Amino acid sequence: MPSHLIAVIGELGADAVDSAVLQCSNTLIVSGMQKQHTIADYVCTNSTEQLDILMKQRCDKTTIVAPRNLYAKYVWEKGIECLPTFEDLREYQWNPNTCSQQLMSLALACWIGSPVIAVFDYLLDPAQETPAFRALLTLYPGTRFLYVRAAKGNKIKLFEKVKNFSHMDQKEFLNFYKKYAESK
Amino acid sequence: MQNQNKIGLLKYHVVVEWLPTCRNRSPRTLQHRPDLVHKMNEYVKKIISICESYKNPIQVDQSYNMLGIRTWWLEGSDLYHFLMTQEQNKLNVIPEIGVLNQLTGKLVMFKFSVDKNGITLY
Repeated sequence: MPSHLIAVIGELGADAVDSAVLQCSNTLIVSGMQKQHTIADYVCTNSTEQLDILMKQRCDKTTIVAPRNLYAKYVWEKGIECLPTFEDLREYQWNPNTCSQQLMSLALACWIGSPVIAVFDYLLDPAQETPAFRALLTLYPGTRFLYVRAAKGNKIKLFEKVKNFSHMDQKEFLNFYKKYAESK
Repeated sequence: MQNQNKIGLLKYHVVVEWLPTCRNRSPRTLQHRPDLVHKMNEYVKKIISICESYKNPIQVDQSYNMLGIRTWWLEGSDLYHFLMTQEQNKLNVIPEIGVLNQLTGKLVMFKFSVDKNGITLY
């Protein structure tokens, strides 16, 4: 049975994510060395340096997820898994070694599957991250993606016509979750 | 009982090659070669005995495989030691390891080489 809500912490590094917000998720996926890596269910990394640190600091609950070539270094140890090969992304020149860690996290969330995926502190840039996000929105039309910022700020018009995308702040997210949990 | 529960979590898989004279023998050939069957049984016993020296559960697959004897390991450190000491135990492990990915439920396969400095995976 898929999780009700997966939270993904991106790499923007600008938003403080409230602990009450994180408690709404069934699965927490963190990108690399972001602050929440100590409480995450999964931490995605494609950086050798970060992997070395994460393997030392990891708690029992957390599973580090790394691409095959990095995973090979820690294959004998517990708490690490190889990133799945995302068949759906094959046509998108998907390369887990060169993509951002937040995209790895989001791809893993989509692969695990959930009716709702909420991304926090997630960087969007026109060169790579926005097109990649758009591709995932198209590939998973049955999943509702919530782009959550600490404060809502300007409206994101990039995904205006995309039905499964919503932009909200953390307060709105908590209200959304309350109604969503009640409906289940 | 505790060990039996852990068997379901066995993560690593390697195959120990048969002795040179026993390799790639079909079951039909083996029916007419009790000498080889005896040798193979003794060899399996030897592997089981080595595996029993480890604290954590290891499963030695008793079903016949022309390539060799399949073994499943719970702890990476045990398998690492087994691979590093294969020469002194006069064993030859086929240089391919399967690691169960708990996310996908599939084996991730790696080729490997062993030298005095350690094990390198490709």
